[in-house]
Order: sequence, then C-alpha cells, then structure tokens
Amino acid sequence: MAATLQRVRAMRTGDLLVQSLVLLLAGVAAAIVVVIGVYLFLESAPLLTGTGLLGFFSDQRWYPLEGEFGMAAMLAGTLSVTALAMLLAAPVGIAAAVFIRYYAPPAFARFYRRLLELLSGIPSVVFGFWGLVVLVPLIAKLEGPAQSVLAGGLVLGLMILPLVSLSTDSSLAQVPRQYWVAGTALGLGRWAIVRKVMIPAAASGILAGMVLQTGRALGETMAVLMVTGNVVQLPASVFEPVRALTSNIALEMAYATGDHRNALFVSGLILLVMTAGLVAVAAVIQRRLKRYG
Amino acid sequence: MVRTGIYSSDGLISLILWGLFSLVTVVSLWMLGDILLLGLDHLSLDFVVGEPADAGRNGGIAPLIVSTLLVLAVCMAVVIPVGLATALAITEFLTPEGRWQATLLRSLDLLSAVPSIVFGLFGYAFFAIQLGLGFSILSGGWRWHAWRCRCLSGSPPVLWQWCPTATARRRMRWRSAGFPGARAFCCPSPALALLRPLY
Repeated sequence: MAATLQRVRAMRTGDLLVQSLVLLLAGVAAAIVVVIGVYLFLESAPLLTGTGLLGFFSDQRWYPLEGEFGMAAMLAGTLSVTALAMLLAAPVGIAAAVFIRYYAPPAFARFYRRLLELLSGIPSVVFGFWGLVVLVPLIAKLEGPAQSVLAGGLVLGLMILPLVSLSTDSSLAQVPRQYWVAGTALGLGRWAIVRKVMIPAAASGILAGMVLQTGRALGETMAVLMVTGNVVQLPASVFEPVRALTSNIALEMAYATGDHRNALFVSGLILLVMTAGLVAVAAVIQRRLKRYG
Repeated sequence: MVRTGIYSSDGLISLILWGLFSLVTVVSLWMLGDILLLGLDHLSLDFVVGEPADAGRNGGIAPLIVSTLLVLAVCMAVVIPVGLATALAITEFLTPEGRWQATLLRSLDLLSAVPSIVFGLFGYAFFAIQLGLGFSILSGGWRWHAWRCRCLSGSPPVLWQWCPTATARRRMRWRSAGFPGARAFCCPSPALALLRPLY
C-alpha cells in the first residue's frame, strides 16, 4: 500500500517536471517572434524617430552613402514581382488542384500530386539559378534587359504554384463528401458542382492559403535576387529591372554601418509588418468565411 | 437531356484543365531536367570530395557540404527539443478552450510566415554582434549565426505543423495505451520538414 502510494507520488512529480519543461520550451518558441519584432524595432528606432515612417515610403531615392533612404522604389519592386507571381500562380494553382481532385484519372492525379510535392521541396535558390541560366536568356531574346520584373515574377510564380495548389487541394479535401453526392443527385454537371458547391465551400481555406503564399512570395530573397537585376528604380514595364526589399538587405548588409545599417533594419521591419498583416488577414478570412465543419 | 462532349461547358473546362496540366508538367519537367542534365555533366566523385581550387573556379565542394551539414546539426539540436515540446504543449497540455493554445498557435503562424531574410537580419545583429559570437567561424561566420537563428525559429513551425496532426490523429488511442507511443508516430512525417533549413 505504502509502496503504491510512493509510486503514484513519484509519477506525479515526474509529470509535473515534464509539463513545466514542455510549457517552458513552448513559451520560448512563442516568444521568438516577439523578440525578433522588438529587436528589429529597437535597431531601426534611431532612424524612425529622425525621418518618420512616411519618409521611407514617399521617397524613392536610395543613396545610402549620402544619407538618402527612400524605399518607395524597392517597395514597388517587391510588390510588382509578388503581384505578377500571384497572378500566374493563383489561377493555375487552383486549376491544378481542381484537376487533381475532380477531373484527373487516379494515375494522373497521383503523378501530378507527387510532381507538385517534389517542386514544393526544391530550394528557392535552385529556382533562381534555373531562372538565371535558362529563363533570363529566353527573355533576352524577347526584349531588352532580361533580368526584370517579368523574370522575377515567372520564377517566383513557378515556385509558389505547387504551394498554392497543394493548399487548395487540402482545402477542397476538407469539403464533406455529401456535398458532391448531393450535387450529383440534383443532376448537376461536374463543373457546376465544382464551381457552385465545392469551391465556395472551400473558399475560406483556399483564400487563406493564397494570402499566406503571397507572404511567402513577398519574403523570398534568393530567387528574386538572382533574376531581377537589382537596379533601384520604379519599373515602367515588366521588362525593366527592379530591386526588391529582401534583395536589398541581402546585398548591402555585409558592409552597411550607422544609419545605413539602421535603414536596412527598417526595411526588415517593413517586411515583418507586411507578412504579419497577411497572416492576420488569412486568420480573419478563415474565421469569417467558414462555411462547414 | 444530357449534353456531353466539347459542346457542354464540362467538356470545355475539362479540355482547359488538361491543357494546364500538360503545361505545368512540361515546364516542371523542363526545369527538373535542365537541373539534372546541367548538374550531371559536372558531377563526379572528385567534385563531391574535393577541395575548391582557383578561388572556387575549379576543384570540389567538400568543405561546403561539411559546413552545410554542421549548420544543419546545430539547427536540429535546437529545433528537435523545442519543436517537439511545442507540439506536445499544443496537443497534450493546453486545451482548445483555453486562451493559451490559441495564442501559441497564432504566434507560430506568425513565426512561420516571417521571411528568411528577416531571420538573417536578426541573427546577424543578435547572435553575431550582440552576443559577441562575431565573425568567428571564418568567412562563413555571419551566415552560420544567421542560420543558427533561423533554425531556432524557422524550422519548428514546419515541424510542429506536422506533429500536432500526427499526435492528434492517434491521440486517444495512444493516450490510453500510454504516452511513448506518440513519439514513434510523430517522427516520420517531420523528417522532410527537418530538411528545410538546408535551404
């Protein structure tokens, strides 16, 4: 009797120990993002109090050695490349998911899904490298300086495509099977069911996934750095080179000092805030549009 | 009357989807094929086990492979305990009704969305400068620390996104059978996720 009681007590202390350890480590994990945010803010604070945040957005002249830190041009670069990538990846990605789930014969669907999973596992630097070696020379035949918004958008779009379509696929997979059965019972065609029943039912998941992948495209560094030419300017067409905010940090961090360094932290902070905003939007979409489950 | 063939919208859509499928397949295979062909041309044992020569224009990549693996090892040493603990906290110690689980999940969502360059920026300033670890490890110093930091933070989200589903799936059954079972279940799926810090 006493022995049993002792064992139970020992187990309790063990449990308690494990529990506090696990919760502590989880707390650490949760705190990391806060620490990063605060740290970036502190590092960029000296410059923020001097110029104010608006100055960075309104000014497009980036001459860090002369103390001019306008980021409008690079922000435009980031946004234009991301927008082009999403413009390519979103429709094709959704179509791919719909094809896999509702149209393809099983063997094709399996092959296609494996292919997309393979693509989603390829390091971004490989996409960038391929873009540089193969895609850029092709664009050069078409028009002017080939390292451009177009090259960046294509490479990034190809990179995001498998992610978009896999997340769409898993959203569609969550739609109850009865929806499909009911649609068929009503005599609807395949496309009618997909368009009017399945996609609306999965809309929250699809949209949220899309928003999150936009964040992924926004923060991509290597692939963009390698194919966009990195000229600081407002692009007048998709054939002009641009520099993205992310590339700028990678290019200049190694030698930046003083205000210049702080300016790079400001651009890091801007990136962090933009991605955090996208995560928040995705969360709201998921909560507002939830139609099932 | 049932309309079939390309006259119904179903047929047209089907045609479009097949077309897109072929396009995506062709482009993907084109890329994969290019990388394979361009790479296999130069791939040899000497290249993999050799030292770089002539400022990297010739020779091999052995030191790069070793440093990549070292970075990965440091990363894993941090990520596995923290990631696993967080996954366990979510599935076993915190309840969906409470506020903490939601907070933790929100924070992890945010973490996994942070661009890698921001991790690099933070890692450089915090690990290399603030903590005085400096450019200690040859020229690759700052990258090392940046990666180490990224590991600390970049990889766990991927890890625990798998873990909770894996544990939750068998949760009830494993629980009744005793806790260690979940461990075996948790391990295979994140194996791929662990490779992420490689790039």
